[in-house]
Amino acid sequence: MDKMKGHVLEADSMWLEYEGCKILQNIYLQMQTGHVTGLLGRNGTGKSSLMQMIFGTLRGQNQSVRFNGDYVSHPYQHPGLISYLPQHAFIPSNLRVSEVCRLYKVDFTDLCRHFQDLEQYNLTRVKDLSTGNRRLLGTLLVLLMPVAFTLLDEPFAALSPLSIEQMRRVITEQKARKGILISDHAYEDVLGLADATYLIVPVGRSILLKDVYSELEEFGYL
Amino acid sequence: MKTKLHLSAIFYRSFGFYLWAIPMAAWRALGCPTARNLYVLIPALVLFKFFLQGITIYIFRRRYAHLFFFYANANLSQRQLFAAAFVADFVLFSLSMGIIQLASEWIR
Repeated sequence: MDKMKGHVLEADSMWLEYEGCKILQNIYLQMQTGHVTGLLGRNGTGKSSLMQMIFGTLRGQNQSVRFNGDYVSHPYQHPGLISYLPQHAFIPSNLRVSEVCRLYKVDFTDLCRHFQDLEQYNLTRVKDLSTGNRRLLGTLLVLLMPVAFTLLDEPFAALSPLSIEQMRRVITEQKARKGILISDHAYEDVLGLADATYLIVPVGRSILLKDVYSELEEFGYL
Repeated sequence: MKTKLHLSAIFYRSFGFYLWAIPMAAWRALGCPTARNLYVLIPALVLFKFFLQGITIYIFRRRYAHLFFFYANANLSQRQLFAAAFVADFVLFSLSMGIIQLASEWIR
């Protein structure tokens, strides 16, 4: 994938129902390399499901993900296209930090450049890391992977205020190389980073916010 | 390709021992049959392995579904992971049976 060229990833007509209950209806969302896109919505509005549909691991009733206008059926199966940080711990606990970095093609020294405290954990197994460090490792790995687009589901959860501040800097740095979609309940952090923000409102419709704070109040998010 | 093989091996390692050991324990519980008696038993052991593989898929999807994202980030689907793991499992099982058969003939 040519990293110098601008790329666009579009999610269109995303429709998801569980046992007849509508979660997402006709969602449209656009991401671009060089941009951070925010995704906000109240609990249970389907943000995580939408991310998993874009990633390609969750199939809805209808979905269309396009990369530079070309339909991609399972984006995660395309090398160098997309990475996803799920809400829950996802790294097998018996692996060593250095091994996970190698598998994800992430330079451990690059990881430590952002968070020096991680330096001591090179040979540590993931299960021996604290919950916060495990989350930090997962988020950094997904962010630093050599892909065109990254989806971050609650990247600031379980992080201390200082780590959140540093993570914001990493996201800003990485934005120069890729397109990033962030969803987090720390909405001020998301809004501070995002070049464009979508709000998912009941029942499962997306709105591209223009006058952000007044629209967030208008649609009952704030 | 090398990374994908490595990841498939990590995935198989997380349950492979049980998938290999349980049929071997069943073979032992049946009195360690060899030669002709083993040939008769192999189809039943293979069916038992299919059953165990089904249970493995069920348990993994129910309890460890979050781990699939680790492999998906490396472009591997569930289908690819299970297919690679079960092929490796059958190879190991066949090797084990082959070694048992050869050893029994050598002892005789």
